[in-house]
This record gives sequence, C-alpha cells and structure tokens, in this order.
Amino acid sequence: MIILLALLLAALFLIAIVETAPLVRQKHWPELAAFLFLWGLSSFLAVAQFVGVNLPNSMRFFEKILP
Amino acid sequence: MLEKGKISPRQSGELLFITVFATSILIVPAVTTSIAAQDAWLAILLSTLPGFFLLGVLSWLGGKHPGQTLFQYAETILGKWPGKLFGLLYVWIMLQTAATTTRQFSDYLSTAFMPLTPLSVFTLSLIFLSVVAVISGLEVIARMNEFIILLVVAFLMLVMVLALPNWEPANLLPVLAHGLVPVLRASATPAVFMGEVLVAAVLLPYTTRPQRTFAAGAAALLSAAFLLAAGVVAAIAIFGPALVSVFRFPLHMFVRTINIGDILTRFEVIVMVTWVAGVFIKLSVFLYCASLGLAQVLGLRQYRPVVFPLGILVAVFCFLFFENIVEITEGIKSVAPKVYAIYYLVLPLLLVIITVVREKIFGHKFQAKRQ
Amino acid sequence: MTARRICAVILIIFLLLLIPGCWDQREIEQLAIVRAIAVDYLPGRKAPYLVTMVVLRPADLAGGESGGGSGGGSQPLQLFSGVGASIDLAITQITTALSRRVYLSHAELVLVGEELARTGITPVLDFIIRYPEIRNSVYLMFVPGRAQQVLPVPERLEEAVVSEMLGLLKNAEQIPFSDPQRAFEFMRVLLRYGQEPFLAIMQATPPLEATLPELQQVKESAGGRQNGGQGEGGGQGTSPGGGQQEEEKVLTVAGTAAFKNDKLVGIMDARETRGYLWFTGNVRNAVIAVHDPGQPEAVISMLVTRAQTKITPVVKGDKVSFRVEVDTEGDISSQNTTTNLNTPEILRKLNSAIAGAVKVEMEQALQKMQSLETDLVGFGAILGRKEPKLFGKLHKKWPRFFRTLEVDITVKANIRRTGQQGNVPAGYH
Repeated sequence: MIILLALLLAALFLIAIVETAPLVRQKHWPELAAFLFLWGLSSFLAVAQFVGVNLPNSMRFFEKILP
Repeated sequence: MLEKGKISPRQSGELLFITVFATSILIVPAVTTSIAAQDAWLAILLSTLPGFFLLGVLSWLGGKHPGQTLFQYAETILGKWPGKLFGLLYVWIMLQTAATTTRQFSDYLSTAFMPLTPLSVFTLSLIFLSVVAVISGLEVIARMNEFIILLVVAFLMLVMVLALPNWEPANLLPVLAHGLVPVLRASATPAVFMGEVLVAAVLLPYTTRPQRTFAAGAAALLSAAFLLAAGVVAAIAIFGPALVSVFRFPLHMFVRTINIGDILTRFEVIVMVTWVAGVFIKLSVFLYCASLGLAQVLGLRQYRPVVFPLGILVAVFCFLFFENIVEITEGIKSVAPKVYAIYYLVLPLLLVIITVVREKIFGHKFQAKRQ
Repeated sequence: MTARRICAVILIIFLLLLIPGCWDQREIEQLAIVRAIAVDYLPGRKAPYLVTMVVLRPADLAGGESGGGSGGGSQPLQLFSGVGASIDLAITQITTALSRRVYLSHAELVLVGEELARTGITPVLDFIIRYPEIRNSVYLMFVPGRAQQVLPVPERLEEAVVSEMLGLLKNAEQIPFSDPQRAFEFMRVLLRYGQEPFLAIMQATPPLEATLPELQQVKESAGGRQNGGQGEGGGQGTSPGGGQQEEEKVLTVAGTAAFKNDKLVGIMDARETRGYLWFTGNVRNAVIAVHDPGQPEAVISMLVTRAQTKITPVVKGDKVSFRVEVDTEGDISSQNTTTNLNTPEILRKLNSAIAGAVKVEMEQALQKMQSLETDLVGFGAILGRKEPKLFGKLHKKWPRFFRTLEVDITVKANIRRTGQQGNVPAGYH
C-alpha cells in the first residue's frame, strides 16, 4: 500500500518534471500555470482516490437532475 | 495555431468510425437486444439518425467558421465568457466519455480474460499509451488508425463468416412483432455512441478539405452502424434474443462458439487484441479533443501541458464514476441517453439557433478571420 | 534527446513486466487441464452438487510416443470429485486435492446426471456462461443415473475416455439416433417460447453382444480371458465412486432426454429420436427398412441421403394445426429378396411403403412428445414467427395446447438409385 502510494507519487512527480522542464525553457508561463493547476488538481484527486477518500461522483449528479 | 498537422477527409472518417464503433460493439448488443429483442438491428440503424443530424449541424457550423473548432466558434457565437463555459462543458463530457470508455473496456478484459488482475493495470497502461499518442499529435493518431481500422474490420468480418455454421436465422423472426415503440426506445443507447461523431467538430478544421467532412463522417457513421447491426444480427441468430440480452458481452460469447473442424477455434484473443487497438484509438481521439479544447478555452499556445493532467483525470474518473459493472450498463441504458441528448442535440442546436438569430435579426455577419 | 531515450528504455522495460499478465499468469506446467466435467445432484444433502473432473495427467502428456505401448497400464486421465452447494464450490473443494491450478478452457464435455436434470440444470448453464474459462461451445450430455459413472468406463478405440466420448459425439452427429447439443444450442432453445430443449444421452451399457442370450454361452466358454484383460486396463481406475469392476461396459450415444424448461421430463429412445429428427430434416444416413412389396416376409432398406422438412401452421379462426411435409430421397442399401427392382412401379410401391414407415416413426415420436408435453420440434416457435399475435395469447399455456395439437404429416419418399446392383439375381435362390 505504502509502496504503491510512493510509486504513484513518484510517477506524478516524474510527469511534472518531464512536462515543466520544456515549458520553463521556452518561457511559456501561462501554459506552465495551466499545467501546474491541472496537475495539482488531478494529482490531488488521484491520491485522494487512492487513499480511499469518498469523492463526489458527477454521475450521481446527472442521475439527480435528470428525471 | 495549436495543431499543425492536417489529416485527409478519409482519415477523419476512419477516426470517426473507430470512435463510434470501438466500444459500442461491446456494450450495445446486450442493451439493445434486452429492449427490442430480435429487432435490435433495426434500432441500431435507426439510431444513426441523431448522428446524421449532429454531423449536419457541426459541418454547417464548421462551414460558417472555417478553421475553427467547436470550442473556438462557441466563443465567436456566444461571446467570450459564455463561450468558454460552453467549451468547458464539452471538455467535461469528453473526459467523461473517455473515462467511461476506459472503464467499460477494462471491465471487459477483467471479466472475460484476467479476473485477478487489478483494473488499474488495464486502465493505466491504456491511458498512458493514449497520452503519448495525443502528445504526438492528430496526424500520428490518424495514421496509426489507418492500420488499426483494417485489423478491426477484417477480424470482425472474419469472425462473422466463421460463425455462420452456428447461425439459426429463424431467431431473427418475427420482425417488428411488438411494433415500433420498443425499437425506438432501444435506439436510445446506440444513439449515445453514434453521437460520438461529435469529435468531428474538433477534427473538421484540421481536415484538408473541410467541406468533405460531412460525406466522410456520414460514410463512417453508416458503416459503423451496419457493422454493429451485422454483429447484433449474428449474435441474435446464434443465441436468440433472450440469451443475448443476459450476456454481458454477447460478441465475446459469440466468438467463443466458433469451432470449425476443431482447428479454427478460440478466436477471442485475436478479437480482444483488435478491440484493445480500437479502444486505444477511441480514447486517444477523445483525450485529444478534450486537451485541444481545454487549451483553446484557456487560450494556451500549445495543448501538450494539459494532456498528462487530463489523462490522470480520466484515470481518476474511471474509478470514481462506477462502482461496478451494473452501474455501467444501467447508466448506459437509462441516464446516458438523457445526458448525451443534451450535449449532442440540444447544445449544438442552441449554437445554430443563436447564429441564425444573430444573423437574421441583428444583422451580425459571422465572417471569422482565418487563424 | 538521450535523456528521452533513456526514459523510453526504462518505460519499455517496465512495460515488459506487464506482458506476462502478472496476476493472471499461468504456466502450462502448473495447470490441471480439465477435459470433461460430470455434474450430479445428491438430493437431501446440504451440499448437493457432486462434480467430477477428468484431468489430463501431465506425466503421460509429455511422453507422447509411449501412447503406442499398451503395457503402461496407467490411464492418462485422472478423476477428481468434490461436493458443494454450487458447482464452483464443489470445484473449490476439489482444488484442495490438486497439485495444480484448475484450468477449464479445454473442457469439452459437461455430463449432466439424471437427478440433476430432474431438479433443473440452470446451475450448470449459469456456470458455463458466467465462468470466464469454460466455453459455451462445450457439449452438454445427459447421463441416466449418475453422470460420474460413465467416466471410468474403459475407452475402446481412442487413447482416453474423453477422446472416446468426443469421437462418439462427432459420430453421433452423422447418424440419426441422437443430436448432441452444445451448451449454447441448448440455451437458445431453452429461452425460446414455444420450443423445449433436449440433450443427447450418453450411457454406459453392456456391449450389445452381451445382451444376446445366444451369445452368453460362447462368452462363458471363452472364459474370463476377455474380462481379465479388461480388468488390467481399467482396474486401477482411481474413480472415487465406482471402484468395483463387475462387468464389461461400453459407452453409447443414442436417444434423447426431453426437457421442459430446464427440467428433465422424459426419455426418448433411439427410434423415437429418429422419428423426432425427421421433423428437423436432420436424418442423413438413416436406414429405413420396409417389407418387400413382392415378398412380404423379408425386408428391403433404403439409405436416406437427403431429407427436407417443411412445417407450416394452419390457422383457422381459433383452431391451430400444423402441416408437416417431408421430402426425402435415398438409395437402396440392401435387399433380402429377389424381387426385380428394375421396374418403375415396384419402385413406386417401395416409395410409398418407405413413406408410410417414416410417417409411422414420426407419429410415434410426436405421440411421445405430446404425452410428455414437450414441444421439442418448436411448433410453438414456428407459430410465433408466423402469427406473433396469436402465439402471444397462447404461449403461456402452450405445453398443454401442444398435448392435443393436430399435426398432419405427409411424407414423400423417392428412391433415386439402387446401389451397385439393380436387383438380386434370382439364381441366388
């Protein structure tokens, strides 16, 4: 469990490094911001999902609003 | 411009074909047959109508705004902020579709072949591959697809021919015994898949001759529907409607019945391989459209930075949305048609109406500058 | 660029790890390959399902050439049995006695015992569909008594009992005394309104010659030689149930077990089965014998080479009846008389005699089905295709309706050829 979590975090950070490096080099700051925001969001969700936090399910939302 | 590659109308048609076909062949036969019994094939053919409608709307809009994707002309038509919101809605639905696709397929692999393997092995490897493909660009996906489409179609045809000795065509009779109502009801589910020609709105500006997209898309839609209907006809002819509707994956069962002289048997693995390939393309297309759309909504100069995070999101969603396989099939049966009807019919129609109103009543001219 | 390349290599190595399938990997050396499964129902027990699996013995599988050497004496198949409240529970129990993982992908036969068939074979069908390994194209066979009993029967022509059974089935498909069903064929009929499913019967019987009283003496005088030899071959059978070796038995595939829904309701013997098969037109290689019109004390027989059956519902108001038209042709295959067959009118007489014989056979089969209230032919399904509305009203009470159904059978027989000789020359007598 811990090992898998570590692996997951390692993979996420590897992605972050691989993706940010060229952006920084090219000085594409808006893209970098967008990436960091999305990456943070999705990583947070991924880790939360992995740890077992009950995340809201958008499917339930659709089921509720539609007759 | 975010995408420098260009694809030919034929390639875009092939992409649309795989997008529509890849997972519908897994899910649709059982669901449609459970409602329409032996008339399921008719329901599938009927379900192309909303697909054609959507395709028509999208190519009309695309013709009005040359060189622009759905996300861009939404802003032109609706104004900046409503347009961005509109675009985000579509990014969301594309992510949701991608997640559903991945989950359906992983569940298939798990049910039929590797019950002990964790689902994440299938989802993560598939998503990772798709992310790499999307980063490589539209042209790469389209070219890869030219090969994969051959595999998918050839193997499906082969399997259907080989299964002929097991057919009992009488299972398909009587036609329309319960009238047209169950057929119409049953066509809702395949219509969800036919509506996936939505991605044409994103592919259209990157096609070499955008005006031919409608023809290519229509051909794709028709051939996908015909192949799907043929698959359903074969499954019903072999098992009868009652049995098809209890199977989770009728086509898989159907391939398992093939036994020609004890030599030509056990084709399911080949079929699995081709379906992995097809789903991979489908996932890539949706991930590509979502990434490109998000990049355009956010006004980025390249879409690459958003691909990986969106891939992770798809992975998260595909575990989050569905607890078990029953939720998937029931969702596809009851909830999905309504959700997707909004996205595939209501919202595009809204764009058309606003365009017409602004042009006819307010005399606004949509002469988008080429980017 | 090099960094990317290193990354790619690492990734490829990582992906290689996934290729063997990790969690679901199985090596062939670790598999217990199951060739056939026999399922029985033991009434009155908490765990009523008795499952017997025929497992290939890997040691014999490896030494392929030793098949010729009959001196080995050990069977290449081993039987394993277990009981459970469901089929998979029974298999779970078996696994404790296995040194390898159960592998069902190569199972080709599922034998259903009589008691199970009477209580309903849905659990078997559920197992076949749901379980990912087992295929829906396995043969389903009915065994009178305990299904397990037929497994220790020594094989005669083939290498192992399961191959023997499969050979019997393949052959049975060519001869008109039974109609072996694959699991999916059984299921599709089971789920069809207006038609009931059936299974072919496999049973272990004493060989035909043993039942003839005239031969009993011969056998006794020949001494225990035959029996003794048999005992050596199958004596060490590790069957858990029937260890005792009382007399020689052989496997036969003939007859039909008629079902109503998923429950056995009756047995049709080989002759009635052929009568039933006439309704489906699946009677190639049938030999029909009739009395010679010229010399009624002896028989002439015809080998059926082609048969076609057309069943049409006739609806008159509320009354439903059926018209069955059989069109068959064949060759003369034997003649115990010296009647000159080289005249058209004798052939015409023969034709009508054969047609009459076929009609009688069909009527007997139909009577049997009607008395059992199982519509194996699918008259109801045919009506449902032609007149869906009418059948919609009838389908709930179809079995009772079928009991008194009027079926009008007309048979047309045509002798096309007479074999290599025109007639037996009168000089023989």
